[in-house]
Amino acid sequence: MARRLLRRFLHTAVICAVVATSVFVLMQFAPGDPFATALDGPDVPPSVRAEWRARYGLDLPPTERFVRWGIALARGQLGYAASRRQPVVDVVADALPRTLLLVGTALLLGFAAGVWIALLQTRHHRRWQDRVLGACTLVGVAVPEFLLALVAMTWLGARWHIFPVAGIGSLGDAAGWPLWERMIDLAWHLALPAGVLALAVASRVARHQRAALLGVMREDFIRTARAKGLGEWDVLRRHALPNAIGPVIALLGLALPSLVGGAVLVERIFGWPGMGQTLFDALLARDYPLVVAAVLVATLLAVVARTVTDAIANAVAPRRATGAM
Amino acid sequence: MSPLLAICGLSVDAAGARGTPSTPILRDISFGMRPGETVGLLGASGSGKTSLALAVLGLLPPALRAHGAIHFDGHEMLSASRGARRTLRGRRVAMVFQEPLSALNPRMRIGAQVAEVALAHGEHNTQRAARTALDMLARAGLTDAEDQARRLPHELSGGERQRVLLAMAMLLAPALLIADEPTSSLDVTVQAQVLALLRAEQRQHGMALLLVSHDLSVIATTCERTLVLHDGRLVEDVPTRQLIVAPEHPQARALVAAVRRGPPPLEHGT
Repeated sequence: MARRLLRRFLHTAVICAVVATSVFVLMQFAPGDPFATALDGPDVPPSVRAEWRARYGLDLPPTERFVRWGIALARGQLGYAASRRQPVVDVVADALPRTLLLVGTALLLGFAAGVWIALLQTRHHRRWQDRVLGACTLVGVAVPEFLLALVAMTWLGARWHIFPVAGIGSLGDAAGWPLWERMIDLAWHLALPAGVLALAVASRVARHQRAALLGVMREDFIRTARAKGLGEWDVLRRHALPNAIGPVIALLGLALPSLVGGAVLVERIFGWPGMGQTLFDALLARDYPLVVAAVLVATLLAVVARTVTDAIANAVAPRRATGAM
Repeated sequence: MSPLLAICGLSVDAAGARGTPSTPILRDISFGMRPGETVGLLGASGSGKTSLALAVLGLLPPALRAHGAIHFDGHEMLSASRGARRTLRGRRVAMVFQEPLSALNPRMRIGAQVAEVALAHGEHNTQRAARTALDMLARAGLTDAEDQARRLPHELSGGERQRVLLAMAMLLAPALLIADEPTSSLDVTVQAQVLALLRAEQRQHGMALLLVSHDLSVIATTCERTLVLHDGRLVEDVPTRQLIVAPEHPQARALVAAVRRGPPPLEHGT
């Protein structure tokens, strides 16, 4: 166990180093730097520009900057986010919990809904219920999240005023509300962005779960369960699902990076001040340290999610061999 | 005595793809079974034995269509509602499948799989169901039943798994037990033990037994009467003794001769 953890830790470290290096190199090719928009005008004297760039070490050759930056990063120093006038650590500490709340809610809701849809489809295999739900999940897989987000925002938000169109909480004196009212307010603001992401998750989960369930329904022990006199719903829930859910959980772990990718746009659209929004703004501002930190956090999230989902998949599948990374 | 099971003119077809004619699996089968009777169903692989057994339980795969009539225990199985058939399965008619490993849910503990039969038929107390299951497992000859009940199927030996399937089928003392090749994957000693167990349960509860096998020696030691199925048709329905002494149909003769020649070939019938 300790050796497996150590190995996984080393893998993670290598992945992070590769990702951080790639991001650094790519950012060098992007035009501009953190001061391009603020200073590169005709009315700013060249000496001022040079002074600011020298203060942040931007006048050094890229190789030297890379070495200095790598050493600082290895020490755990994420640097200073010039665009936010805040240490990167503080920016991440603010934004990360919000993203975890959004993505976590979407994952849980989407997974539960997807499994239920798949159970219903398998129960009514090849009847109209199966076909209608199958068409819906196909649309859910095919339509990009940002489009769904815009549609939801237009109708549920702007036209019918059911949900707020943006933000994480009501403005004004909301800060003085009692705790439970603030929580309800948060959930109300969470509904649209989390709902859009959950729909995307549910569609993918449902399609995979349905295929896995149909495969298991051909097994001999399903016939045994029916011969016992179990109802079809019990056969599905008690015998088919436990044998079909493991691979779907493992798959969810692999799909998480793409979910985070979708979350970046959805956060941006709904003005949800999480990591996606942070990364988006940091990219526009060429805030190198913040970009690297945001990408690293996303990488770590993906690795952690994979470890956790693998562990769960192993736990629900006691016969599966352990030890594979 | 009125028959427990009466099958009249049963035919089963596999629906062909669009435009192609359907393939017959069973053709015009008719026979009856009295309560407590032991009947052997003999036939080579692919003769339709398992389809016949599944038709009685109403468990034919959706691609197979059955015509005719199956009267069981006062119900017409082919036209009965799904709910009516469900309440009969496991309680009045039970089945033991071949291949005990794949017939058990790999993720569910043995005790729970057996207790589930009671829970599906009106028992609401899980603890009482678990106790009933333990008693039955012990009666089925599983040593250390209490300990074994907590295990998963792959942790048991083939013989133990077959005993679990038998315990599952006999838990509610059904009027008819259909055993589909219950011994074909077991070695000879365990085979004899399992057959003895079946006979003992039968004597105790007056349960009728339809023993499906491709192996005449298994049927000869157990059954008073034997049906021979060949290519979807019932070609013999005679007392077992008569079948062995003077088989009429060429296929029956071949099956008898196979046993006389020596040990049966290692194959699993369907």
